[in-house]
Amino acid sequence: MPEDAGKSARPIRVLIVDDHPMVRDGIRSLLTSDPRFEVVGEASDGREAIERTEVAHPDVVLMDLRMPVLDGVSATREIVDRGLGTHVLILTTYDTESDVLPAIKAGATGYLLKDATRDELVRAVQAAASGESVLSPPVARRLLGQVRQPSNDTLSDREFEVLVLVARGNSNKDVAADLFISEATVKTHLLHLYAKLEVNDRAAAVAEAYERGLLTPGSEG
Amino acid sequence: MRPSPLDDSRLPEALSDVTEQWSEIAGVDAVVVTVGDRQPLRPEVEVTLLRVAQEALANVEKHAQASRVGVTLSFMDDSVTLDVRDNGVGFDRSAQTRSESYGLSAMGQRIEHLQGELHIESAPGDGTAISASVPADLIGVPHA
Repeated sequence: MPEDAGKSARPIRVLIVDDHPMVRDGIRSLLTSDPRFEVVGEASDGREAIERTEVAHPDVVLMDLRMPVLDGVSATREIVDRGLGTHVLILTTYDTESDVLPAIKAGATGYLLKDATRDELVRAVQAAASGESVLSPPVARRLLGQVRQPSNDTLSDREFEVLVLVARGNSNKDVAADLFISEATVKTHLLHLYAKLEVNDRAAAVAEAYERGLLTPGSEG
Repeated sequence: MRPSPLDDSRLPEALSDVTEQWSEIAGVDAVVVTVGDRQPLRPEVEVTLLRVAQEALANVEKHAQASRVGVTLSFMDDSVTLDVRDNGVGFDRSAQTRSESYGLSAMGQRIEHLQGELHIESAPGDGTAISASVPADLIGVPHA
């Protein structure tokens, strides 16, 4: 078939990144048995993944998230930022919001869970190679859940300003001085943002804001 | 002329006008900021918050020796709040005579009438901030 002929002309070049050798071996044997793919290397942490990507220029990096030295999200961000045309497909066991959102924000093209079938993995790598997003159903649900949050849960610009100042460690008095308003009004903004984030205090508000991806490392600085 | 009830609040413009005029006469820098999504306000709410702002600005001119004033109108989901903050000499909140001379009780009565709250924050050398807040069920235009 012409389609297959086109694909076999140039296999999709894949870099496998995972700190567990058994996992890398499994993925490698799965992909090398298929002529549509070529495994161009392996890496066992995020730092190695960046180095191998620069050398091998894979079409797709299969990226684990939790790894020593440098985690998958940071490695994804660096790889995407370098603009080498490499697409990152996250392949992990974790599907919590705090895993999914940072990875997507870092520029991952897709997010697949390790319980994916062989066919799902094959399709996901093919899609990622052409820059199409692929999300495992539980991951898609998480993302949709984020988007579908009722609008009254969205922080106002002023509430966000207050949150950022609080995340920097400012007291209510400091925040009031910075925004040149009363402490009473700062407290009112805080109560509103606590309600929207479903928390009871400032520490939990900051933690929840990171969890939801409203704040990212650096945004509070 | 009163704004028609279904219009967005014109309080921000009124506050800007009042504050700008005051700033020229008092010779104190003043900035008006509006945050949040504007909602239509009842005429009595607009008038009350404008009077509170005027009263607060008059106090700043009389007592504060400030070089800077911030007037902030915050539209929130369940309330509208006016803040007037200065960087002046402030006063000791426990010294009742002084705080009464600020005309604070009159402001408080106006806000209480609307089931709102008035907060006054000050300390010697630390400027003064007043906050007048009116709850949402009284700020909006009742549906006919």
